[in-house]
Amino acid sequence: MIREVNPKSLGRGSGGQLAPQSSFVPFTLIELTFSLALVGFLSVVFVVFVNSLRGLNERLSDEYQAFLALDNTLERLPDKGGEVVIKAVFLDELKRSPGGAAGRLRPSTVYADGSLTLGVRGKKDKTLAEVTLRCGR
Amino acid sequence: MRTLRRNYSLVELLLVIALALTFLNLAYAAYYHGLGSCTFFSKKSHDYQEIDVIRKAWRQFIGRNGAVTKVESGVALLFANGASVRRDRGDLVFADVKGKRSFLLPGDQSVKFSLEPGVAALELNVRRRQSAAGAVSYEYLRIVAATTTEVRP
Repeated sequence: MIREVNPKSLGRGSGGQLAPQSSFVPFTLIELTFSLALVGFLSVVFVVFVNSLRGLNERLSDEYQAFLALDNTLERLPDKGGEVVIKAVFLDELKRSPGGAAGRLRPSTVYADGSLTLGVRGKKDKTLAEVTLRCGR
Repeated sequence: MRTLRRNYSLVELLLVIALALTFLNLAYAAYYHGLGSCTFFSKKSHDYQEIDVIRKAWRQFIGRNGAVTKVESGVALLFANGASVRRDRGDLVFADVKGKRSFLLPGDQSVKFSLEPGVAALELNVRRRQSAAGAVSYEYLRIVAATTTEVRP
């Protein structure tokens, strides 16, 4: 069956069907849905980005606190002293440091082959700062 | 009078305006937060650089002037040789026989001095605001300098 169609009455997105003259739709429902989904996706990306910036900020602070704790430890070390003394000074300094007192920073000490490695660990047990000293037992 | 007929209804027009305003608001919020974060990080990095300069000066000064005799209410350190470190408004002032050196304290800081066995400690409390209406964050930093007395952990 042949049906006559007036080309002026065909609106975009009408799916080739006849559209009433008064309700012109400039986009289809699927276009609207996809554009809203895209906006939602971009919003989620932005929120994740802002949250990662916040995490980065905390990490930067913790790294600086860890660096200061190790630096203060080196400043407090006596001229002579073995592993025990160095460890005691390091643990005391970390306990006094704001990051250590708040429980965000944890110490790690490893003695091997005449060297003592003092490390400060942060969230997820990641090493934030580390120094190795040559010393006796 | 001639009637103007449009291809969209009033409800459609209002909906599009509301959507456009929502997206504009989101875009402005993104810009505001992004700019605030960049400024905050830049300021923080600048603060850390200034604190490093103060840290070196503090240790050199303590090492040069020997034993500390008195801590004045946590805001000044007095040395046996007459030297002193004190906070003067926004400055940290080191004064000894060589003269006076003052360092501008970064940001809105409070300073506290204390004496521990073998070391003099400088505690800085740095106050930062992420944006004009943002939350205030505090960061405590502790810098020690060895004095002439024996270290006892």
